[in-house]
Amino acid sequence: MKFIENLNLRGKILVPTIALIVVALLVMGSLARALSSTSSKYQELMFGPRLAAKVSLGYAGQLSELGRVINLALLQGEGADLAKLANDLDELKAERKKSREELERLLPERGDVRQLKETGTKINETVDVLLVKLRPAPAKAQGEAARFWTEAGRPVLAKQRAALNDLSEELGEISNKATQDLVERTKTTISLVVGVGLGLIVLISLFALRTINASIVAPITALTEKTVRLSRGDDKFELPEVERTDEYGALARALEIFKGNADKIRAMSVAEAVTKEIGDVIKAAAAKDFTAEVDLDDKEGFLKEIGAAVNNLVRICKGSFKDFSQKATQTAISVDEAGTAVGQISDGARQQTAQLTQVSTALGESAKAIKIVTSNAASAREKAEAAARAVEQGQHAVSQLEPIVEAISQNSRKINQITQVIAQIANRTHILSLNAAIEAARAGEHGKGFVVVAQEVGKLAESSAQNAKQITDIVEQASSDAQQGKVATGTVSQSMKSIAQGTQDTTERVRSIAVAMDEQQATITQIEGSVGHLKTIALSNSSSAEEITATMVQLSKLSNETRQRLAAFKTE
Amino acid sequence: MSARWPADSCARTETNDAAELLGVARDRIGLKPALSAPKIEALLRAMPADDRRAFCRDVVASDPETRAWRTFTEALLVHETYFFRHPEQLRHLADVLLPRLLQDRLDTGSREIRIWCAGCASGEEAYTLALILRTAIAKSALPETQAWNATILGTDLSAPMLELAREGSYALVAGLNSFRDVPDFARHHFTSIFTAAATTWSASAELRRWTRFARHNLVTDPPALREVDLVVCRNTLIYFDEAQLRSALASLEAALRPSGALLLGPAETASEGASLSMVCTEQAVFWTKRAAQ
Repeated sequence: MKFIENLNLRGKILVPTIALIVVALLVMGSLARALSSTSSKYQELMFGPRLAAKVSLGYAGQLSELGRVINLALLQGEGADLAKLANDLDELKAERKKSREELERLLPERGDVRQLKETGTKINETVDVLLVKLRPAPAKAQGEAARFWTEAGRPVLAKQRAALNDLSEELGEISNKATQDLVERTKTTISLVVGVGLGLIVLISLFALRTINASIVAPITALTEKTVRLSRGDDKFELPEVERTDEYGALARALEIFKGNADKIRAMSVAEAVTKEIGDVIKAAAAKDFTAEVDLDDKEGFLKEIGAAVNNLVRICKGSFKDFSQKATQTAISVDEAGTAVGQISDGARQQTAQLTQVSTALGESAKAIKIVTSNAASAREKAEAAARAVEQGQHAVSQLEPIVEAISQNSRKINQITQVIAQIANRTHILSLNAAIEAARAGEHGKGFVVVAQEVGKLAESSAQNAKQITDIVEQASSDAQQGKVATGTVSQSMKSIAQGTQDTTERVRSIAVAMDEQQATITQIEGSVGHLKTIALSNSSSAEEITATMVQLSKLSNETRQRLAAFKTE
Repeated sequence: MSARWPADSCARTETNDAAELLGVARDRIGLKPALSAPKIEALLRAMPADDRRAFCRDVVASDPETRAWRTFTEALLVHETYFFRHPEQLRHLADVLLPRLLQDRLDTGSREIRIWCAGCASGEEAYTLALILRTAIAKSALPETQAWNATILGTDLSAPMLELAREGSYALVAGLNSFRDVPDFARHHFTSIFTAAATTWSASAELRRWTRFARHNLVTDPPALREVDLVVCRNTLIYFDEAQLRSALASLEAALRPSGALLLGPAETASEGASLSMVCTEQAVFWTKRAAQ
């Protein structure tokens, strides 16, 4: 059994299986051999005595046929066909010879068979004699031939036939006995072989079952139980199987290693749990949550180191993100404030530009106004000078005016006298015209035209008188005017003097205004240039400020986005 | 009651006008309402009340040839630009990005390079790009500038600014002028201004041959150029409202050829997506168009 134990599993299964197969094959071989020998013996029997019996019976038959043919020929007498008879007899002879030879071949050692030839020859001779007797004169010979046949032929034939029948019977009996023996022997052989074979198969099966149970099932059951115990963490068991050289030995040695590793496995399962814990912390960090940390108190060894490293990483990340977040917030706020400030600056710059444009326009207007003022001042100066000249001339004229006024005054008086004379003349002319009218009326029809003349003269006189009176009035008025003129001329003269003085002052002032205006214009032109520069600067400042504003707005947007993204990280 | 009618309706009309113009500024130019509101108010305030209605009508019609449209856009747009603005970014462009783009073109057997400068204002940026391109070509595997077929298209909404750009003459005026912040590595381009007594710098014939200027609206027009190697659009999109910003970016992106680059202003950003990938270096951030799958 030690041999089986040392085989591997395949061997353990193969050995009993092969034994079973070998036994089965042996049993089947024995059976086949027994059957085959029976078969060949039966065949011998068939081709030996049984065939001989059959041939012997046939031989007897042929003899009967011979007897029948001859009897028939004898009975037919004259009508018998001798040629046919001879022919039939020859055929029967040949058949008999064949049967005899067959019997001699089958049963060479039997004396009675050896005698068959002799008897046969005797029968043939008898038949030949019979044929000779029949041939010459059948009618005559018939009786003789019949007698001959009855005497010489028929007894021999009968004897022979009986001998053959006996032989056949004997042979049949022999063969029957032999067959019966054969059957009996075969039966015995088969029973023996089958009995022994079945016994062996049962034995070997039992052996195989025992082997499989003892060397395959039992050890694996034991090892399975131990493995299960080990998997439960129970390593308190012996492992004698390690001594084995088969697979169970290998399995047991592996199990022994596992048994040895049980501590390590326990440690590993702890490590797995710790790793999972650390993994959860890392997972939380990956999901932007930095608040989780690995609890280091119940850890030891390298896992504690890893846990500490992860905690450190998380803390650094947390710190950094907090810092980023805070700075991003500050940046966002600062950028917002700066943006607002720059926006205000931008607005200011724009207003500045607009106001500078207004100033520039105003300056242009001023320059234009100053130009006008300057040219006005120049013309004013010219006019003042002309006025001064006019005043001078006026003064001169006034001084010339005084004697003229005096002369007018005197002339007025003279004119008064003349107008009085004219008034008297008018009076007289009026009277004259009245008289002329009276005279014209007296002259009647012929004076009619004269009446008109007289009336006209009267009217003329009247108007002359009125004119004279008017002239008097006028002259009186003129006289009084002249008197006033005299007084006025004095005043005018006085005024003219002061005007002349004033005009001179004005001219002086206008001249200085013109000079001032010239200077002013130069200054304004200069200012205009400066304002132009300022405008360019303000414009470029304004566009720069606007660009910075837009940039600030953009930066504010970007930093807000950063802040929002950072806010997604949980640090507290 | 009826005596108060005109005053009321007037007030309402003025608010309506401002809102209407604000809508036009956002929808047709792309501007953020918060930035354009004070300008529009100032514009309307400075206008005789009788003219406002007609002005609004003309602006809403959005015909770029009308005087109202020109007044409107000039009041809103900010033409801030100067030579070699954001030098760090340009340095990266000159040293790394442009040499790579030129080599890409040579690798595909082409000698054509296209640059689109969107929102070029008075043209300083387009000429800056031309100067950088000239230097980059001189350092490339094919250093002859004549061998290259270069196009730098400057586009802007403002017709007066485009006139200035086409003139290509820039004066050293007081204040924040075009030369206010030329970095050391680019000062040699402006020797006449910085060392000689010249007060004006004019673009050379070569630069003029490369540069073209055209009016283009980033919001309403299709891309101004196709199969572009480099799109530069800096400090233009900061003025844009969200929806218009997206469509403008899509237009800029559509203009690019695969592996072409998009350069934005320092405060501007494009979202990385199926077709754009962001490249972030210490000097600059830019986007490249992914090669077609």
